Amino acid sequence: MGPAQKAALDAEIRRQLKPYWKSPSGADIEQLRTFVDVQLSRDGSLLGQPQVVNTTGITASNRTQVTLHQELAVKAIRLAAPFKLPPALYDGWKSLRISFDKRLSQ
Amino acid sequence: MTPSFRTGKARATFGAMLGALLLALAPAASAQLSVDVTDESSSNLKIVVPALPAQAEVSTPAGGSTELGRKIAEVIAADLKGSGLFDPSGPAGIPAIAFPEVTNPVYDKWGAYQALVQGFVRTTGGEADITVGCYLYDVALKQELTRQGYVVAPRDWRRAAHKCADAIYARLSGESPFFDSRIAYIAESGPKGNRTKRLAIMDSDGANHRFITNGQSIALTPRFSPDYKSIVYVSYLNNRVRIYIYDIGTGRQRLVTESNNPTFAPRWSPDGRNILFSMAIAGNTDIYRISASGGAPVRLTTAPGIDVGGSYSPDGRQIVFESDRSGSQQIYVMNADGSGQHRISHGGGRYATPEWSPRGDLIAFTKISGDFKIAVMTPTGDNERILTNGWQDEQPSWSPNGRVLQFFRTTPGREGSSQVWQVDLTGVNERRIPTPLSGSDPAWGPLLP
Repeated sequence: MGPAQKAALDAEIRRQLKPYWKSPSGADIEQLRTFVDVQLSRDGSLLGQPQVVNTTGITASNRTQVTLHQELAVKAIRLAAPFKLPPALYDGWKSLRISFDKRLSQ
Repeated sequence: MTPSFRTGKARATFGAMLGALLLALAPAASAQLSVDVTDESSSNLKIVVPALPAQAEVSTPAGGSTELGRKIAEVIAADLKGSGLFDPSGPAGIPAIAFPEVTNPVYDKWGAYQALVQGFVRTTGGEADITVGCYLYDVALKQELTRQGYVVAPRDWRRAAHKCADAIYARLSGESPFFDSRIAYIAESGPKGNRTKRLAIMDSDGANHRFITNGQSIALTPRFSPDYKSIVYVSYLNNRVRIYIYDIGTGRQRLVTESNNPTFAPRWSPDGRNILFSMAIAGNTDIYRISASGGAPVRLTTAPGIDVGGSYSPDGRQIVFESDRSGSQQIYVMNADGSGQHRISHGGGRYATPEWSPRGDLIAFTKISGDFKIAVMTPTGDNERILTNGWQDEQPSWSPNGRVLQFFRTTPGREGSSQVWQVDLTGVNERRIPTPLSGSDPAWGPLLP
């Protein structure tokens, strides 16, 4: 799979997740980034539960929100599934590492 | 792992092209694909709060049980809205729910919302305690997120509502609760040159307002003791400035220290055993510590100039204060015994009224550079952030969870008056706290015991 395909897949998965990803609010929240591993079956449904890998950007101010950040990331994946992705490229999307963050709109 | 691709904003036309592009390219076995998802929205979580049904309609001193259920829902919704994080609907305009529905939500009714708050009121009526149930559901996942129950006297129904709002706020924000708390402040009336300043207290939402002093003396800078039993404040009468401790239960008050020198800017230690204050002797102002039960004051600073406004770190080991020893007002930190004094503010302008967050992670202060603004920085003086943009915003006081600040805002001009305002740490959610008169010097107490 070439870079153009990867970029296209990436954008499509992001587009399907975005309506369900709602970051917590608060101080330094935009510095948090949670990584979640997901395994998908050929029909786009989840194979097992999404696994939180880690969260980066933790500061003294946003530490209490890390668990919630992870919970909401997993929730977004559960709500977005099943993913509608091209079966021909299954090998390219069967295993995903998805990162979630918030960009303040200011 | 493959590199991630940040392709920026969504493009309407790209989606249509995608299918053709992907099908045209041959599949290839590859490693894990990385995808970055960013929440760029600033919309708040939509929560619906129907009125709390009563198990049976009976009368209580605070009103009928059905009416109480509606009033509790109103306070919950108002608290959640005031936090700035949520967009609550109800109870007005929302269909009532039946008592059995509280624990068996009909999710399909609430598809327009992300979260659902339900609860009930149960009481045998009269002076008997009321039981308030409080449930939070995730509408999309169709699951319960938290449940709480509170038993309160009928007259304390607002506390049950604040506790329910606290449970919801904590579950949905990840932060500690703060609605079930009180605020002491100075109520102001009269013309600018001859203003009456009375000590007053109220709930965190402005309800249950009560005046403490009668206005014969001028009251300033109140602070609740950690157990809410007393308030330390400054009284200014006949050119004498003195610190008093007012006992809320008995209505009696006593001097913190007998002295002919002016004493001001009192603060409790986190354990309530000591009080920090400033005392001016022959033009030199220093910070002292005294036991809350009396005794001899211990002098903590000795530098020439004005050292004022000490505020303890939550572990009681350090004190942040304001000093003009360098030639202008700046913020310093010292150990609780007065050793290790060092300056932490190094930006432009002057710095005043530092307050250590109850969380310990930040120090709030008044930044003076032209206008007065509320700002925060870390205890090492890093990451300074301005939170407000009024003409004169000053004297921040932390919410019990260290996520929200109250301060007072003064409007310019001869008729300018002060009001109590609040802002959260993002600086986005700012609102005025309703008070019957003008207000200044707000001081937020801890979570109610």
